[in-house]
Amino acid sequence: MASVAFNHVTKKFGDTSVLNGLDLEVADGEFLVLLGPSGCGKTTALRMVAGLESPTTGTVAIGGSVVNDVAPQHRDVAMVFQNYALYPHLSVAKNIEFPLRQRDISADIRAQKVRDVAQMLGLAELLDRKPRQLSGGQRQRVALARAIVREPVCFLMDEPLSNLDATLRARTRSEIVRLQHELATTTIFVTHDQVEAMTMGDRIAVLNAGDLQQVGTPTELFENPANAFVAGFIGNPGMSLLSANASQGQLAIGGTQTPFSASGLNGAVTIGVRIDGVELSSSGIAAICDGVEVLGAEVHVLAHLGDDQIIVRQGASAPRPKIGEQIFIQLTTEPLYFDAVTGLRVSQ
Amino acid sequence: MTTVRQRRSETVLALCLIAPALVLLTVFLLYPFFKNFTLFLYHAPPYPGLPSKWAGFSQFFDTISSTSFLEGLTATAIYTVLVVPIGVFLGLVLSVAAHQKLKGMAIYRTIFATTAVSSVAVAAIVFGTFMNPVLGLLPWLGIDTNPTILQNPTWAIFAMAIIGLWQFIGLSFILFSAGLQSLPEEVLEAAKLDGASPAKAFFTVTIPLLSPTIFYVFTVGVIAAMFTFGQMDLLIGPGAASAVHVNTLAYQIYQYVVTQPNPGVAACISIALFILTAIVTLANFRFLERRVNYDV
Ligand SMILES: Nc1ncnc2c1ncn2[C@@H]1O[C@H](COP(=O)(O)OP(=O)(O)OP(=O)(O)O)[C@@H](O)[C@H]1O
Ligand SMILES: [Mg+2]
Repeated sequence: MASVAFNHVTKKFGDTSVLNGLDLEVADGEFLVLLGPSGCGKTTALRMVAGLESPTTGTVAIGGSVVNDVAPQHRDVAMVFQNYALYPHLSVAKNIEFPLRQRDISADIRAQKVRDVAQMLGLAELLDRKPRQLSGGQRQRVALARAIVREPVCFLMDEPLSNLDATLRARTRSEIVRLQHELATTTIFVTHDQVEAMTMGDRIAVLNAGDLQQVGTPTELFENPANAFVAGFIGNPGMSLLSANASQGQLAIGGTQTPFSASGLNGAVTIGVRIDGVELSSSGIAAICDGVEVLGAEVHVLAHLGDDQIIVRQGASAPRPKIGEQIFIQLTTEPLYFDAVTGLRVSQ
Repeated sequence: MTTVRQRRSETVLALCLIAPALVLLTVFLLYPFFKNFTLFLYHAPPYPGLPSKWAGFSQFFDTISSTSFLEGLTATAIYTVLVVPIGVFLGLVLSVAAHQKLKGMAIYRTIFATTAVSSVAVAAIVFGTFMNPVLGLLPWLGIDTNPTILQNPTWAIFAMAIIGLWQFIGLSFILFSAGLQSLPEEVLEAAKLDGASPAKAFFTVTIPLLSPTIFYVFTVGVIAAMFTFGQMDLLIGPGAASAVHVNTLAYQIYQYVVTQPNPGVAACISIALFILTAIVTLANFRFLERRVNYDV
């Protein structure tokens, strides 16, 4: 078991810069989620820990020692690939045993470990099957089993749940968290799904376009986003971001005054509001309805004002606005303020 | 609803579309194939134009029990054994080497692949020059060239095999390169992360995943080797081939068609060769294909 550290890591593929100076420490035994939209460089970062990709500049350290020049097979990290990468020609048992065979471990102990892990992950019945005879969820568990059987210093998981259906995904999520707690192995878990990130991670590192946005616990990111990107990305749904104007202790949105003072701010500002900080009303900020999402007990009304999108919650029985209809919105709690240009959080 | 007339016009269209292929197939494959079976039942007339004499199966059995047929069988077998396994192995080694992502690899790939597309005439001339007792490499390497390698009853078949090998490696290289390209990269990466050394990963992951290609190259190689006669004809010729043990069955067929025509015997040998090839190929499928892994 070991900590993992990125030290000002950059990565370029030819002329495209994929990571711009990543600084990130993952503590020993921690479950860190690397979260970001598609193409932001998550897989690339993970592959650099594995040794499948080398940093253009900067260093990657495992357990305190720099591993830039250490070959993948000597790093003792285990990776669960997005599409599992099982050995198609080997049975489930042989797949799980494969990493053990590369080490000096007697056949008895190997067999014992394979049995234990298979038991733990509910694969005992499937040991003689080939990967092609398994369902997606079963393959995913074989990939996990292959990773944990050898007790590596660190787990790397690249969106391992993305091929599973919603029910199985929710169940596997908690299964992985439980396993990780039991084994206390440092884990870097890559996902673009913020629900996964919020429910699984000890801490979350948010990445966007190769830049680290913020690192913190799920609660910290939810309550105290460092910038507009994190605010809009974290939460289900994320914060709605609106351009507003502050002058003489008054916050106005689209020319309509709000009850909030935005004290200390002046001029254009971006505000972030959670879904429970706004409500529909008979007067207030005008917006155009874009659609209605019925989620059972509650209904989300999607609307836009100018170029900004906003989501408002509505009771299940309230009359639903039609698409294209004008609606009015009021802020009920003080929003968060972000610099209109840089997107950075502005403290009042 | 499709009317009868519509269906009929579709059938006509279908026939028109397959007609060119059908004609080619008939003229160049089916007709010769069946003609062969009638030829082998008759003795060829001593002079062209005279009527052929019915022979039944006797001509066939006489042919395959003759010493020259046995000689041909031996030469063909030795040639195949020399060329195919080494060709498969070297093609695999070269393609793995050329699969590395290094600068300038494209040049090597082109060089290795070229041999597959150069004709046997080119190959024969190149190697004929190497083996030339006066101008060639061998005297320069200090190898005794009296008698020359092409006149040497022990070594002539090796000279033929080297030429065949040179050509077969190109084909084997191309097929293996294509096979390597299509391997799932993440599985090979998984092997690295699981701690497998490059050699271990090669034997326990790459080879099994490549086994369909290996089987294919092997089978195609065996069939091609069993039909070889180009370099024998170009470098040694019908007069000497038998004396230096390179008179392969395919070459004998060629001689019975071209240099000393006897269509009946040619047909008998070609049917024997056909049966042999079928047996060897079926044996390949029976004994080797069981080890092939088609799961991806
Ligand atoms: N080998 C490569 N050559 C060139 N560009 C690459 C290579 N690998 C990745 N990239 C580029 O780097 C960027 C980041 O890729 P990466 O795979 O790390 O994204 P990701 O965050 O994992 O995305 P996703 O969530 O879609 O998997 C992408 O724009 C991608 O096109
Ligand atoms: Mg990815």
